[in-house]
Amino acid sequence: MLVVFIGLFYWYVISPKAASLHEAQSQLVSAQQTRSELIGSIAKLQTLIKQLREHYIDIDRLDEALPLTGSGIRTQLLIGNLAKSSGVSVGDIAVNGLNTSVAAGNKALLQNPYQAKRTLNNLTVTVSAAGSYDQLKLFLQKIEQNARIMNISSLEIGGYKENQLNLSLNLETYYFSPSPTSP
Amino acid sequence: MVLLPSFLVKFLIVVGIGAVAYYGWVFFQTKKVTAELVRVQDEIAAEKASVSGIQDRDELLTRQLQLQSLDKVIAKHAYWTHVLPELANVTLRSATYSNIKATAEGVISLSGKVPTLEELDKFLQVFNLPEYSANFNMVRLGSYHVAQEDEGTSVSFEIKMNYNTGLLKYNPLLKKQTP
Repeated sequence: MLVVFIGLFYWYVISPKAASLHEAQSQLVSAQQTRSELIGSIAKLQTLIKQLREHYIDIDRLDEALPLTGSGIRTQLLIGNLAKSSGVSVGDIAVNGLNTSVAAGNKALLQNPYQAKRTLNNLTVTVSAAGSYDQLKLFLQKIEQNARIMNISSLEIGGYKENQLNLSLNLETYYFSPSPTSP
Repeated sequence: MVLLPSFLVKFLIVVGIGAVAYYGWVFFQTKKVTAELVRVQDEIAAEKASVSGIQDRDELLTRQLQLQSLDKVIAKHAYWTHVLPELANVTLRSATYSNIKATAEGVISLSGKVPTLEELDKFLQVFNLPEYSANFNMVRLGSYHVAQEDEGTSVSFEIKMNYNTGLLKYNPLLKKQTP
């Protein structure tokens, strides 16, 4: 009788309770692991934020290479300045690709510029210019080596007259702006 | 009625007491572990809530994505000033170009002039030499015509050819060759 009682007590009372303890213990181990990973991630996040603050010069370069706003006017001014400093005379600079961008006055973005979801966008620019071969080569070099990333997709050189060549360029430049659906 | 030996009875009583004691231990352990689990889960929730409040977190995430995008853009960066000297290196001195059109996809269209048909043939043959065809190949002669000018004849031509788009990539060790 006692043997039967002990057997039933173990089977129906102790065993389920022990299984429940085992499950709680595994949940605890898993939760402790999650907590330590989370603490590690937060520490890493804080280290990265500290590094971000320390590397402000690199951040300025990053903003120059890939601005957070897509200003066609500044792009046009930049290309105009590069042309001027190369001795090249510019016939025309046309900037396309700004149809969906808010140029100014986005209050939500001004209040918190980093909360918006951003995507890589591009401006396509066509440039017509004239100059000597050396001046045009210098102009191309300045575009290639500029801190603002500009990728020339095609070029045309021709129309030689009185030591002057005509240059026609199609180039892409980029900006990392909030997607149109973002506030 | 069968009587069990007394030592067996004592043994079973000890086993019974042991089972009850074990149950008690399991019961208290479960309570303790559950309480600890709740505490750890609360801590996790608090830590998670604190993450969104970390100053500059949004900027860090934005900068990371900005940097990844910059990597993609830089991978496409083209150095056209590497292509033009290479093109000059494979061009006969007697040839002059009146128009050069090039695309980043690796196609160059040229129109130019040479003094004679023999020079045009030489101009084309240069691209059959392995040392000069490494970067320019598949030259297609579109049209040509011989014109009589005051100083003699001249041959105008239009060609299309493929070029090595690797020339557009940054390479400070580009080898210069002259035909």
